[in-house]
Amino acid sequence: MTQTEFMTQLANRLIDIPLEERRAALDFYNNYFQDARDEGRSDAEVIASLESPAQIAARIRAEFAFAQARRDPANPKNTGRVLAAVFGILSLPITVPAAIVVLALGIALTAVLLAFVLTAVGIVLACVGTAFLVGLNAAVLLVTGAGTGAMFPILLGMALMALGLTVLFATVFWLLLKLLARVIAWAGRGIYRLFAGNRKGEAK
Amino acid sequence: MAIKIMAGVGAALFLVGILLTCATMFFADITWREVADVLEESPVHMDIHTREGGFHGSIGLFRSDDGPFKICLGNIEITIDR
Repeated sequence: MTQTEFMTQLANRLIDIPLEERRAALDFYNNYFQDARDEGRSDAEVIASLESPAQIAARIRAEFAFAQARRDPANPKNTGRVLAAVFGILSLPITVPAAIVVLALGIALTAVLLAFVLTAVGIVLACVGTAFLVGLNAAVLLVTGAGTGAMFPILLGMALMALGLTVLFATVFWLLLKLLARVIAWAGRGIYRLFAGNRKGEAK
Repeated sequence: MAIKIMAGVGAALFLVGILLTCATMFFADITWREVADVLEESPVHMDIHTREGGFHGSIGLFRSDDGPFKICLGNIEITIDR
């Protein structure tokens, strides 16, 4: 493989990160090749001393994901990037037991996130449904005149309570989701450092 | 800031609701049992089922001359007996 082929492969695998980040990474490896050539090393030697373009790209994407998650942990896109980085460890040269552990931890983090989101959506929808149905009952009572006159304000109050709980739950779940995203970013970074840190393809 | 506003609005709605309900129940001398009875006897029923043809993403109001009034939210069907 020549330097051009190496760089082309690397560039193709970094297509999903922003242009600025991609350019910085490619410049770094171009300079690395240039420095090595100045020291009298051939391209083949340099390429042999590095990881494959796929592995280097996986590391760059992971570092980008962790940096983005640190900057904006509430962004769901960044949480997705962190989880992708954790699963991306599987594309790196690690032992089978380590791969099993990484896979299990990745699935566990994803499951926790999904369970939380589904629970939150379920509770909020239940509150919205209650508010809507009790409100509808109050409206029907008002129209039909059924029940005592005091029943309408009671049902209206219950509908308002359910509506208030909907907004409160939505707020609390949003805050908890941000906290969970931070925890996932922190755990993902820890898993990555533990299983994939300090490799020859990284900056020297 | 938006979070604080949301929390404030939620808490205010909840407090107004609980005050309205409890105060009315107290002054009108109505028990929870009576409220539950009114809800049970209400003509509004919620029926969650798969409407004909599988999943429906539509929202609609249906009213026939001899049948109940129906509100459909996707596959959720709320029926108001007449």
